[in-house]
Amino acid sequence: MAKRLALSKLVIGTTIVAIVIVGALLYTVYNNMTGNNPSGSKINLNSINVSIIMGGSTFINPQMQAWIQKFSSKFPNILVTYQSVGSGAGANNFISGTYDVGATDAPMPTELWQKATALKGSVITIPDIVGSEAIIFNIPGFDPSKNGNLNLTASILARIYLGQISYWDDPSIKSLNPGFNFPHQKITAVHRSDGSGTTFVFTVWLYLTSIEWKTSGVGYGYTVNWPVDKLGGLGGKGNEGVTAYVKQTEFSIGYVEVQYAIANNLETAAIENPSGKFVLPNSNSISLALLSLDITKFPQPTQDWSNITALLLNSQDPNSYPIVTFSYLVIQKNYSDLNKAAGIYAFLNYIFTEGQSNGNIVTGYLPLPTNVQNYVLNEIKLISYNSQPVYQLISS
Amino acid sequence: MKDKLIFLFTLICTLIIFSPFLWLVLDLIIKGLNTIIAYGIDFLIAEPPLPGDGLGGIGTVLEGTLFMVLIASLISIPISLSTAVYVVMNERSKFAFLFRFLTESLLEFPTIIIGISVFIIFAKGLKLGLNGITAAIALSIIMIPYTTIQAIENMKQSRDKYLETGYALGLSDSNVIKLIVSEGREGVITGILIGMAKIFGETAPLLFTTVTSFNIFLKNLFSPVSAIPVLIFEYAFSPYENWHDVAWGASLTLMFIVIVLFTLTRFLIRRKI
Amino acid sequence: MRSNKVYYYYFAGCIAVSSLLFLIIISLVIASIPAFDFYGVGLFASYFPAIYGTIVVSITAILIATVLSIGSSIFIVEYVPQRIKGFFINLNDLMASFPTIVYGFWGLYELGPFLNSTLFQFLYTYLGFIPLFSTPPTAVSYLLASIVLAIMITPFASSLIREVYSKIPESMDEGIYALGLGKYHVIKIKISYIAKSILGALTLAYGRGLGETVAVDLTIGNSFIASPSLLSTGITIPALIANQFGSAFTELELSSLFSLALVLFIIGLVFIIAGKLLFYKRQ
Repeated sequence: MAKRLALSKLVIGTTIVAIVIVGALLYTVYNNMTGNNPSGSKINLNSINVSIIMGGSTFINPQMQAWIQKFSSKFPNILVTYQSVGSGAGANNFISGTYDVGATDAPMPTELWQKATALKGSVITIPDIVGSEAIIFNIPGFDPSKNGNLNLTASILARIYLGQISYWDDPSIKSLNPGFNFPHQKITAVHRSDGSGTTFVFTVWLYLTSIEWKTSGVGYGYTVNWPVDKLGGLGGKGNEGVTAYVKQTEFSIGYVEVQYAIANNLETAAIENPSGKFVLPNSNSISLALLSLDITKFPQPTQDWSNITALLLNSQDPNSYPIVTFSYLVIQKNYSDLNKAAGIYAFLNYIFTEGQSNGNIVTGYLPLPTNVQNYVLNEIKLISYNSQPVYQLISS
Repeated sequence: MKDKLIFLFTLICTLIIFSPFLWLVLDLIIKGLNTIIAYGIDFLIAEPPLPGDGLGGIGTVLEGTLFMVLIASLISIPISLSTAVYVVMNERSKFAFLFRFLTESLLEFPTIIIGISVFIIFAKGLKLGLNGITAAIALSIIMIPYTTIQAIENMKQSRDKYLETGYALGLSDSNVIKLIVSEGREGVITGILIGMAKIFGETAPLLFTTVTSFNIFLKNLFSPVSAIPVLIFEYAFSPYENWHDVAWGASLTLMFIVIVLFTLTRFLIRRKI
Repeated sequence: MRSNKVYYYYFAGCIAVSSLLFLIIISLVIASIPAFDFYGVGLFASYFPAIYGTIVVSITAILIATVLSIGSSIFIVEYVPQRIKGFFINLNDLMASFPTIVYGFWGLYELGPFLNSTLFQFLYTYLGFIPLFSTPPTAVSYLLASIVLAIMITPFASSLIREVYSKIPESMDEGIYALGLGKYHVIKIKISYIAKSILGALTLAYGRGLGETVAVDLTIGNSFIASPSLLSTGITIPALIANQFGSAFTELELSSLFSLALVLFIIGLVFIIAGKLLFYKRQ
């Protein structure tokens, strides 16, 4: 009898606890915790309590984690968290308010930018880190120290992913790489299975640089229909998935963000740039591509940035690497919650000052060039609370 | 002889199904222990390391996971048990059939869809945001069918035994139910445990309902905490060796938790085969 | 009749379950409307590889799981000595609740390469003339995903089957032995006795297989093709949705993904209903 009573008490007890918790939830949900500053006096960053949620790009994730951890050791009461799910979510969740700041690997398309501006007032788009795409490959017996670099062009890559070049001993590959005896083996082309900014940049570059891709009808985007799938093309999940497939599959080729190639000790191909040279992706060739960047060609910070990707590709510098890109953050400009505005400004300010210095950049990522850093530091000063620039309201 | 053949056949089936798992466990123990020994027992309370920067711990996500499973259990246990009681006591009714059917449909729902739906309805729609609570809601939806179905199956047995007896003794309806539930309690608790163990390791529903950064300890009900499976998912496929090591340690911890859960309950309840 | 007051209390739980399910389904339907509006039925044609992959992987997995779960349940109940029976049962239940993500990436990094160089190689070399094994083995494939999925759902099916099997009264065993028949016949008769329950358990396990996301995503190769060969790479609906949800920019893209989810749910529903019909027919 006692056992039975105990069990029913348990059931009733848990139900009551559940109801209490649900009640507490609802109470907290409707309990606004915004910060206001009617007197206009300066606020101290160490005394505000705020939670900032960012999300989007998976590319920037490791770097973002490092920034967040280091920032929180300076300001433990400003909680920054990040959801790494993809640039599409970065844009859409920013618009819906689920994220305070969105991270995307390419600026959002015009329609979304218009929607964001309509819903949130002005939004600021800024680059936060430099990325570059490497072509990795797995050819047993191929050794760059003996056979020279694997030289490839946009045209060859386009035809591989279109399924038009299927064997490694294709004449166009052989003619560029006379130092190696390519066997008659099928090329396994690896691409991304998930929608990705990396794919976006790669396909935009192919579209701009190779006539075969441009006329193929495949186009460019976060996801495309890869014609090579019919011949056994593989889709890897994330940069890590592509890296894993290329490492495991002989005679394969893939495109990844350069730090994955570095971290996995994978050889990268030398890609032909507009000056006709075959260049490997390294900090030198990438920096050269950025130095020749003309900042005056950037759109206004609150304007539509969707056409900027082409600006960074195929730099004219003779020793530059042709596939270089930024990753971006998109931020609301004006806030009615002072704590939130201050917290966001503080975090961004950190990212673009200390965050860009050598010790704080994660292996394989590249900091923004100094001119772009300064440019961004100016732009974030636009962040305002009730139309007053928030940086003026913060006492350091 | 047929008898020998069937023995061989069933033996082989058993070996095929258990040996990959034992191989998996061995892998986990070797690689996971490696990490935990290298870092120390603080592994369970420390924060995770920066990418490429030595070892760290899983304290934040361990706390987050325990929190989420607790909330999810609190939500799903009352719902599961009451559904099970209703279905078992009213077996002939059309409603019972319908509810049993609905529960089974919930079971086969792709967990990713449940995660996305909870994200849209609760995180976005009701503005609950991305945190431990939203994640727990998603987990509870996954746990409910497991617990319910186990409870139903086990309560049926005890109902068959005790229903007539209960009424014959003149017990009231609620007491009959209590009798049936308590006599079938091993099965009920097994159901709860299986449900909890299941959600300890679910990844897909958490991907969109909580954050994928692991630096936050629980400060209030709505802190944006994350969970162990999400950490494993993010770290195991990153290009950083130290993150891989942490992922193995985290997998071992997860396995250890599930084993402890099972052993504890088996110890508390005598099993009847 | 019984007093109805008590049942209202428990009815609440059922209402909660039903409303959850309906809430999810309705939001799926509403979210899918833009895609159906725009594409019409052509939506299924364009996503055919995902639908095909889902069905192939879950059917293959359930075939493997059927054999293994029935076989291992019988072994545990009939042959394992009483004292270590508990160990096997606990092991089985542990496997059923094991984190799916660990199965997934162990499957990709350990099991996959092993099977690739042994079983898959064997199938391709000797049975390559059958369309089923006609493509050269790769690191990931429908077959690997099916095997990993089978490893994940067999314990679940096993525990359900074993529960019922072990509760068959011993008098049945005794009766069959009394007729002079051996263990083989005992098992055969007992299995046919609970055949309905076995079918029920397998139907549930199948449904579980349809919805598995992470483990399949990692082991199937994610190429958007439909191939008759099990050794080829492919794609399933949950994997597709998981891959593309975070990067869908436009409403139309998101809506298409939801419509796929709806399709998946309907497929699952069809199988559950079919299972139940079979169930009642045998009665």
